[in-house]
Amino acid sequence: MNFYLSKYVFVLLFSFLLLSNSLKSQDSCQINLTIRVIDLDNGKELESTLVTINETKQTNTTNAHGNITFSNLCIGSNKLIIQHFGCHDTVVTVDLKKDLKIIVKLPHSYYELNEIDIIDKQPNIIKTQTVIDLKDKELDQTRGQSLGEALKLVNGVTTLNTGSTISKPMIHGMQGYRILILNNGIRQEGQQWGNEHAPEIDPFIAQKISVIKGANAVRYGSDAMAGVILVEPNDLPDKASVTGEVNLVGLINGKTGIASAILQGYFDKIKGFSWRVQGTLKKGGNTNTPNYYLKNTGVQESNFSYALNYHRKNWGLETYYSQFKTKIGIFSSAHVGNLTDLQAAFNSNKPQDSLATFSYDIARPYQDISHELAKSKFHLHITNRWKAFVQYAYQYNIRKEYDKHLPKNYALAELNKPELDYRITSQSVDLVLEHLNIKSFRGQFGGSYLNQKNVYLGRFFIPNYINNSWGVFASERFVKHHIEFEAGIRYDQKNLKSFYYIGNNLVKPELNFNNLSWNLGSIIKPKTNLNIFINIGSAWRAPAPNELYSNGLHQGTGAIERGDANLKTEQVYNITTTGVYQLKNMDIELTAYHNQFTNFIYMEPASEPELTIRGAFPVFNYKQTNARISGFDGKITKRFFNHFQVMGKAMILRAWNYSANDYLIYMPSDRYSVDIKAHTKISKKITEIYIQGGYQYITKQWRVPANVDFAAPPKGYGLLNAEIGTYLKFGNQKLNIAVTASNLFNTVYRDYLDRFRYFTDAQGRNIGIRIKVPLTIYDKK
Amino acid sequence: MKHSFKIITFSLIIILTFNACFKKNKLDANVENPLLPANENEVITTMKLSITDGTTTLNYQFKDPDGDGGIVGAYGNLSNTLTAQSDSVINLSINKTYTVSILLLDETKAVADTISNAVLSEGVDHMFFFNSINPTGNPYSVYLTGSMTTITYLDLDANLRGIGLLTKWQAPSMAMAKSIVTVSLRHQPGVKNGTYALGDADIEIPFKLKIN
Repeated sequence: MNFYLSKYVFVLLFSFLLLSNSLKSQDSCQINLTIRVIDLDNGKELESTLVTINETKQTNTTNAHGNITFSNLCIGSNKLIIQHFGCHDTVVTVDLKKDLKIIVKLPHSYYELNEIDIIDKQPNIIKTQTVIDLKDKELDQTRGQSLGEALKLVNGVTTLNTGSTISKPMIHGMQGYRILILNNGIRQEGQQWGNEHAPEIDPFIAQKISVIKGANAVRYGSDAMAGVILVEPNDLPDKASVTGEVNLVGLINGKTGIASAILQGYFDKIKGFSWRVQGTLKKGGNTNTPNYYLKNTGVQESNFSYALNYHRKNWGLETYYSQFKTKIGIFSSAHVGNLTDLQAAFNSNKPQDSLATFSYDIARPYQDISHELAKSKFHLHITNRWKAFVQYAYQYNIRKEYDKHLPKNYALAELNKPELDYRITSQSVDLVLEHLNIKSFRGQFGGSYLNQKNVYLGRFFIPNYINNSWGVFASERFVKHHIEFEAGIRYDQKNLKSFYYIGNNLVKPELNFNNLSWNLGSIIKPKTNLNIFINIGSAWRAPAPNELYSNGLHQGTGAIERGDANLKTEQVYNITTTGVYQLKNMDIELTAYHNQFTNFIYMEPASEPELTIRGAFPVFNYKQTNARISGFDGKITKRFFNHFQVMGKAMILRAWNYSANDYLIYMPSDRYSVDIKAHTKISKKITEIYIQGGYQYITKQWRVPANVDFAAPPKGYGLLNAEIGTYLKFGNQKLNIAVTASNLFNTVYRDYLDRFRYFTDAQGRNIGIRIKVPLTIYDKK
Repeated sequence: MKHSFKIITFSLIIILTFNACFKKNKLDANVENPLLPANENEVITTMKLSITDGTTTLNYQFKDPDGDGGIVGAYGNLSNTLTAQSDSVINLSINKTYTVSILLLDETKAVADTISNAVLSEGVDHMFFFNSINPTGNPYSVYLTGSMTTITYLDLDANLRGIGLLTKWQAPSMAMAKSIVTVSLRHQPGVKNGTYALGDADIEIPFKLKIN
């Protein structure tokens, strides 16, 4: 399918979806439902109660009199989920025939009924930022993929890849330092500086992955410029039980096998203790493109984590520990070469190290990465409305990169040492105080401190450094029935001491940065099923050590990178607007954003390559410019006859470098996709079977700076994916089995944002099987 | 009983949280005193070409003090030479035959490591090429069109293929202007068969050859 045709089809599809809905919703879906929520015990009207209509997914909170009205509901049975701070979630089913008013009496708060604090289960506070969640069935679909690949399901997220095994998430074209990843509430502090450094997180720990689009500095840290990714495990049980889940994934391409299991429970004997253990094993071998295997592209991973919580009436202590270990083979023909070798690689149809056979062996070059995270969190309910928590986290990351060849000297070769060896130790403390509804105001105040030490043992690329930073913030939100406002402000200070050699002289530069960031947001709800989120914010980040001082050949990019010690603070002003319109048979979600950068840090190619003993290499210098990145994400989901669903997605992005008066390099091209799903319930045992197919078209990125890249951007491509699956019920256990296929037509393609595109075609067809077995070993009802 | 179980569980939390960490390297604590660059592993810093006609020896070199990247590499600056080179130009005389031996060093080490010894002993995996030309004949030889010079390999690996650490350069019978001669060492483990394109570059340095 060529580019113009596919665009045309999408426009047609979008207009069809809109039209068909406006015709249909006239008759049976005009019912208004008014609900009044009061306290069962004292008859008080309950403000800010979150009510969700399960069928339409409409959601809203009650006003000061405990009232809420939903309109445009359809005839038939509707399930209401009512959640209020301090009360058990209540589900009410109403049979709608005409406009209806009901009163719901909520059972009183557990404070008097239950001595155990389950306060962490309060409904998520909806923020004025655009938040997209991946959970339940959508998350099931991503099982077996790396975190970066899984996030691609979120419109607006793409990845920067190094082959199929290393993917780094990009939100709206920004990655690395401009994205924050929160792993179970803790800022992931790994080695973010390389484009071939994927986040060191086991995606199987997550029961929900959320993406907050747009600058979100106030709450999460001044450097949350492009957005925040939240990786969140399940809440631990609060009733005596032992439950779990086993996930098994097998993939033909790479003959990959993945097994992951979670077991969690609550001690019956002693109230308040809950626990979880989790682990994942993964092994894959050489992947194949449609025409050949890629030598040394295997991957091995072993991860585990455990959590232990203790909760009392008004306080709780949570501890969490996780360990991530992976060994990733790097395709040997894609390992750094000088310009002559690069040129030869671009000009050949088939890479040098393409193979005819499969192997699990991982030889040099490879990466060996370990990350551990230990966390301890204490929270306290000071009063009914005030809550505080303090958390401490320790992270240690080891990144070892092995070059393609061993040293020629036998004695050195014997040691088999990594050529690059970086260790980073991070310790952080967060303190947050938050209050719920004081005269329609909700707020959060807090501070954070981070201490970080980086040490290198092998070849120099980035210096040793000690980073100390702290920040304080305050944020308040005004919540009314049809409108919400939010305003926040944050101040951060950062001190960076670096230690490295120039020749044989040790230098110790010290830099200080400080700045304010802020955000203003609003949710406008003209109708209960139409929410408009508007957020304006600023964010900033200090230049990172590699941007300041790197000086060497970066094996990951095949280029000499040189930092600039005089770089200044990078700053962004961001506006993100999202409209969510939910109808009975259709959801529309549109996001538009604009980022205006001052002192945007980027790599500019030097005009002349540099001659080294190994030949000439391209040189990139870190520079600053004013830049803008803006774009649009759109998604329309339309449901037909209770059994069919069509989803269309579009993502458009533009980026401009003002000082070079040219495009910014390595930005995602426009892309469109359509997914069709048919599903039905067969019986009580077979709760769902479904078949789905999706086609995604990625246009050619022709908006690239002139004469900068090693090779011209590859042409656009379309991929077809499909899945057949079922949810089965065996007693209490609900099984999910699915057969998946990606790149079903075995299309030969190369992606602009994959570094391996210089050397090889991308992965070919991949058929897989996925099994999820939830376990209930013991459940005391 | 219930109480003691709580204490045990609590201690378990604390022990597990603060004890299950990775083994640390003792150098991790040494943030303020980093290691001198690249003294742990091998770096080829220097290639020396020693060119002799039997009576006079000319020395040429390219030195990249910390390997690729970092400090920029440069030609020349030889101190212990009979005829020191000032730039990348190698001067040969009409009709003369020269023996050229190549020395590779790792000068980041306190005592410079002679990498060329390792290249010689692993000759089956290494080969020098001149202007990326696949040599022909037995022994291997290469004809450089720009300088009309013939280079013949004088050494052999265990499979009886040339390595190129030792070569014979036959200058033509007429003066020639400067033309490029690129000396490259290819690392070709398991695949060496006399073809340039295989493996990857350990060294690739362009010199200029002038026949006077």
